[in-house]
Amino acid sequence: MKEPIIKIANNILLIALLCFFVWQLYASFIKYEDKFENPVIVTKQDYGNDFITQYGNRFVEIKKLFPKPTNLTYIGENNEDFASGALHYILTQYYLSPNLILRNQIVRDTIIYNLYNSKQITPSTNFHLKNGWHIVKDFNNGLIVLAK
Amino acid sequence: MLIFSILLSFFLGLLFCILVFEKNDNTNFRFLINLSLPLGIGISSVIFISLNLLKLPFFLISLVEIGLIIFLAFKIKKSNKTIGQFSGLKHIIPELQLQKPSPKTGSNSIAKRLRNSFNCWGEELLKNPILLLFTVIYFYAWLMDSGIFYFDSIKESHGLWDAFNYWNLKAKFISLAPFDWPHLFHQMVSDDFHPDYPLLQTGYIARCWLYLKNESVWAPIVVSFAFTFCTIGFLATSVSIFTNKTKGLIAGLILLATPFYMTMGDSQYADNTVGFFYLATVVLLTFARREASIKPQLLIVAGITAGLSAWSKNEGLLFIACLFCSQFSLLFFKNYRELLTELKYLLLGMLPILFLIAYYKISIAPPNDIVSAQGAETFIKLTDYSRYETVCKWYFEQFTTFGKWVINPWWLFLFGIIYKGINLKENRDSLLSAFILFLLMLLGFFFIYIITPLPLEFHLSTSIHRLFFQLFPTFIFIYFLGVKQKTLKQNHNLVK
Repeated sequence: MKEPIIKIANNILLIALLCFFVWQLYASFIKYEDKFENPVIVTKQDYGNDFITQYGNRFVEIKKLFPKPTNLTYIGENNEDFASGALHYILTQYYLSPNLILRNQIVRDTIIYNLYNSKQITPSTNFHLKNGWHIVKDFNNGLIVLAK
Repeated sequence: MLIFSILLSFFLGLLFCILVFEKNDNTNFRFLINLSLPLGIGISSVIFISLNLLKLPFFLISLVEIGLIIFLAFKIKKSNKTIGQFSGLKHIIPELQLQKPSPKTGSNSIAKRLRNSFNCWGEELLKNPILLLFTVIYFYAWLMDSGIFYFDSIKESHGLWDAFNYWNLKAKFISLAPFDWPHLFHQMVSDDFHPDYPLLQTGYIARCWLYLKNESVWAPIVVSFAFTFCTIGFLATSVSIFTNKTKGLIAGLILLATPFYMTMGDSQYADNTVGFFYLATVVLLTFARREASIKPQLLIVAGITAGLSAWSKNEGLLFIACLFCSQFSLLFFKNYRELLTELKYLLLGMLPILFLIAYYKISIAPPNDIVSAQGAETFIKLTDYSRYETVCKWYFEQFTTFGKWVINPWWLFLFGIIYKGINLKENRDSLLSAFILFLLMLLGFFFIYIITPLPLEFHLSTSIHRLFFQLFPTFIFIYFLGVKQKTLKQNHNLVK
């Protein structure tokens, strides 16, 4: 008598557990419902259009300038907040590897400016241009390479 | 080429597993597949980085890998083992199926066996409607999560912060400067890029990119997919082998239904990678100690997977330390000589990988930021009560927010223990040592936070959920191993 009751109780609990899983899965599903409805359109819309991929398009030309691994000094925007400064620096390193991009105190002969917002350096006030560096190439997208 | 490079690793892992497991291990085909791929990826990564450090050109490294596969195939043929020894394939591939099928028994015969096999599964499912329901939901969840993984991956194809800042970035260095990367890594700023992080995922992605001859985003996506879904499959099959099929499906469903688990996977972080190897080590140790006499070959593989966890992330080194410490709890039940023999095999498995890690850490990578910052301040932090309070607060907060479930699922685990009780009769040694290992890992993480040189709240907020997720699959396995079940005889029938 006891065993069938336990068996029924077990089955009820398993069904309850199953309902819990279904509820949780449904909660996850509804967040992606529109994507599941139009997977092809979503793929076309999303693939290659994220910030990181788009950011990489700026580096297509500059990569050709460094056929062999080089050490470069990195200069970002003035008055940049920590998070966006770090992001721009890391993405520069990501897209220019295996060149080593360094932003420590030692200034190398080759410098890369990544001015994502302001795009241009002001020659009259720029420290490096005043101290022996010259512009090798301005890629007109905020990326500027200077050399001594 | 990407498929080819991954298939090579898969076959490497597969043949290795066939060689290691025996007929009476009661493993099945799904278990084999879910273990083979990540294990193969890990071994390929170790081979690639080791030979690359010896300045071997890439085509020679590929030849070594192919040579190893051929060697393993010959070894298997010699030992008369086949893929057919794994249950689930017995109906499709009979014993000694490596020979060519005779002309009389051609594709028709295989089709017939396939049909028989599906009939057997079908019959079993029809007999047990609950099992059928769970199977249907499991497959639905698997497909849905694959879709979620795909949509997230194409939206953020380079992964999230850690992926493009650490793992994929260093993979670029290795693939674009295959002989110069050690020198370049040495010059990298540790705080920004953490070049001290181990290279399993990085090395493997670089290896795939060298096969592809470009840095396709699909290589890290596929690798992350493999680890994420193999962890689910491996957990489900392992639990089903040690308990029953329904529990195996529930275990898999817990991971499949945890929303943050997919986010972890498609972000291309290495936490799922290291989590897989924690789980594999605990499962393989349980297999090795399942019977009265230990199985040295399984202990060696457990050693390899533990080593691979340390080759995945620095937390893996803590795992190895905790693994050895946890084994000493068995001194209450075992002769110390017996235990030392087991530990010897474990160490033997992980030793080559530990040598590689030691060489990498000492000769190539700059010191780890957390380790190098230790000094007099460590003692001050250890005696600072407020730090303990903060970490405790975060630990408890994880209890309610962990996994981003719609409602907190922890009461289900608690309810299961209260309702069923704890079983210490079966797999006592494995259960006890695995549970102590789990507690030691939590304690280890706790003290890392206490002595961290980073701002405490920032460090906790960016990593604690990921550290807990690394242990989550292992916790689920230990839980199901510990919860009481019906008689073993019944379970064996279910597995078969």
